[in-house]
Amino acid sequence: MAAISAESVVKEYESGSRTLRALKGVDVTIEPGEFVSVVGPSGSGKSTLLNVLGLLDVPTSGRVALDDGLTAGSLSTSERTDLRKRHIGFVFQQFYLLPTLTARENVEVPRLLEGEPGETRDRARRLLERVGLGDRLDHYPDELSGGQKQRVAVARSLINDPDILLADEPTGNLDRETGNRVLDVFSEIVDDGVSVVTVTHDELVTEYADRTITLVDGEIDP
Amino acid sequence: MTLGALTRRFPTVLLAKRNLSRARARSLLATLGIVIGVVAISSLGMFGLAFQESQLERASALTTTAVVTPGEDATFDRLSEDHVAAIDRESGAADVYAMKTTRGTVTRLKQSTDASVKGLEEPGRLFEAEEGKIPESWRSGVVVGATLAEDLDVHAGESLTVDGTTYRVRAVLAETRMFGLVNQPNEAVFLPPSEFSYERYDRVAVQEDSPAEIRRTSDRLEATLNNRKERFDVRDFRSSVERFMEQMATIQQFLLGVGGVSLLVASVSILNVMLMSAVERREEIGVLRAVGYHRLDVLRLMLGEATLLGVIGAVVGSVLSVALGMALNAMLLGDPTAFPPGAFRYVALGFAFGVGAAVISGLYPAWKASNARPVEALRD
Repeated sequence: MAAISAESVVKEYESGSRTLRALKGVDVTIEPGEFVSVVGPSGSGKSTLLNVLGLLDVPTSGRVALDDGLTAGSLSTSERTDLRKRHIGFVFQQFYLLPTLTARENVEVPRLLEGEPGETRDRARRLLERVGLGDRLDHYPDELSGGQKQRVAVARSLINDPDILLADEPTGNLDRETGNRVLDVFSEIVDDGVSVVTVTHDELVTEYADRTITLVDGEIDP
Repeated sequence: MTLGALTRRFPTVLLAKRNLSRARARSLLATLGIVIGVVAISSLGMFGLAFQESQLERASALTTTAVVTPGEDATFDRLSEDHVAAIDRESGAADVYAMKTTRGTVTRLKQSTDASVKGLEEPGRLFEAEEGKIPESWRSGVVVGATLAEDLDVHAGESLTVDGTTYRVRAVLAETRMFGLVNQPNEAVFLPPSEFSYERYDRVAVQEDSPAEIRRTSDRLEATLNNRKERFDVRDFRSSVERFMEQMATIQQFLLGVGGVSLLVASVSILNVMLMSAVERREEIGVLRAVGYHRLDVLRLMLGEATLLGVIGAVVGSVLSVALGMALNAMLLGDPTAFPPGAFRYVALGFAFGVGAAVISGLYPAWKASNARPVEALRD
């Protein structure tokens, strides 16, 4: 059974008087433990696809379904937030760590309001150790390099034990070597059965991926 | 519970604290606004109370006093022994003081001044001595009010000339705040009534224990001493006391109004701080929404920051207000701990308004932040 699937997804944006069709009927199925990279020229709808898969945005038409059969389109904002929390992790090109929190606290953020702080702390430590930052637990983001920040962000995306990790240009702000380290982490996650979907311009990412989807002008290029 | 344990238990507090420390100067200024507002409300309120209290202390004798003098239709210009006896009889249990009062020239060595000269049978019933001893009933000597004694530099045992007759000073009075029964006692010189050139009394003062009793007594005196003709003028000070209390209430309201305006200014500054913070952190808030924070969570987070600003400001402001109140008490009432009843109500009021202003002005920015859609926040 698919981890997440999109069926004939159309997404339109109102831009002034014009209507922009970012996605023109896209079908995607992501299997559990699959590493998929989405490539394509800018403006082809890659980020929109990621937002729709991540339940950050609702398709204008078509449907997005998670493995437990829930269809995202029919859910309220609050229900989508809950689903996102349970199933989906995010990694962004600009990392978006909170500058006032340490690496460990940043990883804890998604679970900060959940109670059980002791368990969350332990889990955050283990995740940071897993991405090779066991010695940087109490460093603040401005004391970390770009690659280290991105690994903190990856650890954060895993704190809720997601089924799918969505990454928007995860290596876009990193040099080759640090980018490789992040991709190595992704490979390990995939081995644990988590699906990874990245949007990228980076050739290297496609080498790591099991499958590459090319989007052109809002449609999948076969 | 330590702060660390507290923030682990309430993660919102941790996030709020860290975020506020990010723009430290801005947070500090917003807090300062709240501090000023709280101090303004509570210390102005306390000042009003202490001021009223100090004025009331001066007027307390006034509120329980009635004074009888010859009225418009009187065929006499002073009150006879019979009149005094009648007043005493009608006043029941009240204290009655018959007084002669005039003005004269008081001379000590080469220094002369015009002063109030009063004849009073037993000054010890009303006053206390600073120096010397007040005679119980007297036929000779004088007793001098505190201010007059200081002006003339005269002390107990020395001599003092009043209108050409020289007397020995038997006592100098302690400064008194009692008015009403005797006008301006601190500036007067007291003589035995027998030393006056006339027999009759100029005024009779009646004192009761409470304002209500004096009202009844003065009504009774008015009714029994006068029939149809206004032979006696019976005056109590109820209208002036009422007017005084009304003025005090007006002053109090004005002071609280001033405090309220300063708090309004403070809350606008918090509104500004929180709004800027919400705009600056659009992306961060978007990330929080993306990782599963509900709109309500974000609202709570932002509101937590505003509340923290308000609470810190209100605590500091309240402490400052109490300190300021003690200084005011020392100045107006002569005792720093003499908080008038209700003074702490104003501190509580200031605290509540301070926190309230912060929360209310934090609401809109918090609502705005929580309603930003996560995608739009993240799309650059």
